Amino acid sequence: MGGGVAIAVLPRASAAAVINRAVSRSGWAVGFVILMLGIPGLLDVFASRGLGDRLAVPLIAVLAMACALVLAALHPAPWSVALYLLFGGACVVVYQWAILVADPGIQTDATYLLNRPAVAIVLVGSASASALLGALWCSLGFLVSLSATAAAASLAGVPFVTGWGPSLLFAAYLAACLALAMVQRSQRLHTPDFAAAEQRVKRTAAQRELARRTASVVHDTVLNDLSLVISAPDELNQTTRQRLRDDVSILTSADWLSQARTLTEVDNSDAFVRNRLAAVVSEMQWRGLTVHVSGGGSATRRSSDIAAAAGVDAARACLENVLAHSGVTVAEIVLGQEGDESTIMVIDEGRGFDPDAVAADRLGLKISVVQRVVDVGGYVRVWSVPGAGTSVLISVPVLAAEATAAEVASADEGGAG
Amino acid sequence: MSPAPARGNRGRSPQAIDPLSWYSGPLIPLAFALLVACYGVILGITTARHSSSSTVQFVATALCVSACVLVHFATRPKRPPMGWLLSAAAVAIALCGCELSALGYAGGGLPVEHWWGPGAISLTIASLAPYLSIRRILVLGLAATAGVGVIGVSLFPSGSGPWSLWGTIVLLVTTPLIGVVAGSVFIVTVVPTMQGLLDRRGTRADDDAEDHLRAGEEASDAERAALARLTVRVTPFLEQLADTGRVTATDRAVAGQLARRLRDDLVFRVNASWLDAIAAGRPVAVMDPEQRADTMNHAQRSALTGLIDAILDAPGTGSKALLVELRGEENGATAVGVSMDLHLSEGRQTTHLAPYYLSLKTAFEGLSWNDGRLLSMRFEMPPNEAGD
Repeated sequence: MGGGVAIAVLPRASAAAVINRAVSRSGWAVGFVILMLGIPGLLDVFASRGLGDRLAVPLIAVLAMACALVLAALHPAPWSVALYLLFGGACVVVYQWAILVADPGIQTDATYLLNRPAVAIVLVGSASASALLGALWCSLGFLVSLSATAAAASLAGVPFVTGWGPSLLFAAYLAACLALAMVQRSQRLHTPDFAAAEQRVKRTAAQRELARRTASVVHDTVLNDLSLVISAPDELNQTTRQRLRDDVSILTSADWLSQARTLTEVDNSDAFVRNRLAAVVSEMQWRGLTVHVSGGGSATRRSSDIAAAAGVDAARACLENVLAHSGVTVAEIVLGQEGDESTIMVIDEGRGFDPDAVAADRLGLKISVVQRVVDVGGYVRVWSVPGAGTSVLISVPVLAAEATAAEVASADEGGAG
Repeated sequence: MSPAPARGNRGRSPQAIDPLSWYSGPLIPLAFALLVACYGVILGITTARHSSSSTVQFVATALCVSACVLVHFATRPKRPPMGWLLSAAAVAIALCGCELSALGYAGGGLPVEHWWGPGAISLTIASLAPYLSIRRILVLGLAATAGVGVIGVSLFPSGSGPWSLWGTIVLLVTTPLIGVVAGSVFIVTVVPTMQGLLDRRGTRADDDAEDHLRAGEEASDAERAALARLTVRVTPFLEQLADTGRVTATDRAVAGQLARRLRDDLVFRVNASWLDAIAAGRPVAVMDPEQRADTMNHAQRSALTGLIDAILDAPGTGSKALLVELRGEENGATAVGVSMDLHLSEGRQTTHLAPYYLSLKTAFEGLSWNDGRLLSMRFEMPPNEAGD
């Protein structure tokens, strides 16, 4: 199946954490902008009032607070955010006190200028990925803002005036945090369990794969056995009786339903293939089909045991088709090895058929040959013309090729020459 | 297929990358609309003496609120992604409200910091943030900020209170700029972070051997039972023949009968698609004559499975049947239709089906959801996107 591409939906907890962190970062960025864009206002008002010589302290306080904000934003942790709150609160006090001492009238004429750092500290952000904790930190920031403003007013000996800024921003940020918390809670309750759907799809895919394997095995064993029984003589010979017992045993043990799908290298895959083929050829001869085997490579090819078995089983299914449909009693198997492929070609000179005209409900070629080989990463090519025989090329992948001693010697000679 | 369309992150909105976060709950744009309403009304009342008419300020507030409401309706689950036109319209409406408010305050001696107009613009921009790409929020936000500056200069031609003209302009643009900065940082944090998580999730799914093993074990158990059912009559019959070594005419007739039945069963099992397996034993009719279901990839299968489960679990479905139809289009794509004779209210649709609909959006193209008596969804698999 199309890889393990997961459904493109994040678990709600992950998505919520990302959004909450993004809201925190937005708060920090806005706080920084408020501090920075407050500086032109500070310069404007101090210049217009001839207070240029009193500018340094509030300016330094704003810049120090901006630096602390950047540090807290770069290293978000409860301790760094708490330190920022403490340090930022102190900066607010210094800033407001310095302005109020320079000109107490600014408190009434330009409250906006006075409360810029007090507004920024409300957007303290949060080191937590929880929206509710974000709301808590924001509330803490608002308290620090009010306390610092009160402290500065007290130190400067003026009335306590905060302006609208801190309250409005606090309300907006708090509303955003609470809204997010509600959204996320609602989604936790209503968002479907996509992981379960994905697991179910995986299970269905695995079931279908096994169903195809089952169909191949049942087709190659009992279905062929039943055909054999239909046309069998009254007395069954020992070979046929043993074959029936073996096939029943294959079905009842169902070892091939094992899910072990790892490719394991075998020491002598060539021999493995040849031995299994020999058994198949022998069986076919007992059933009236003479099979000539030729070809083979000069290198030891290593297919996985599953791939090699699939190739041989597919060849056996081809021979069953020859026996059942071709009308001839002789077939040929040609073994070959090319590149990354190990091939088995099954050839007969029988009736042949039109491959494009094979009905969808014909299982022999479809599942016992093609599907079986495709499942292990191979492919099948069929050439057949009515009246002119059939050739089926079965190709399964190999894991590695090891040159034979002769090839090595030949290569050495070439190199020496 | 990748889990998400292969586009640069700069062109994507938080909603596009994770639609499920923005479909339900207290509804973010409406929350911002409420904030704008409170802000406008409170400051409108407290600054009434500076305005030619309180009504003008309330109408202006209503205009700004309607901008957020527009964002709300434009971003409902069944709507296409919010485009330039609608997002610009929302900003333009808010700017109209801002301008109306400025006209109301003209000549009234309003302190610049008490003007609520820039704040409403800022909140409108922030309400757009989940639904716009970084490029759009910057273009629209900066345009709106400039608009506020221009309107502000007309309202405060020579500065306001202690502020010079330039100081006034800085003060005026600071507030909408806050919305732009907040929205932009939000987008550039959410989009790449979520994309990274989705990428890792896709990779993890590839290597999730544990899941595969568990699915394999469950499937293996089920298949053993299926095999036992398939061969329950054949196995003892063959064993008996192997033991006796004799075949009678009756045995041949039985063998023919068993072979036909076994063959029919095998054909049915081999030709059944994954969708047939999902539908088995449930009131789901699958029409897939070309066996196109098997070309769906894992994400598409999961999304469709989730939707089928959700529709069947929705209240009021009772014994009604769900029809899932797949057919080829002229361009090679596969059209998928899901329909049922079921009407759900808007609220129930949102609660029960919107999450699945949104997950389908991440996996298919051309998704549409028709209202009316018949619940009907349609979507497409592009050609050459075979999953198997």
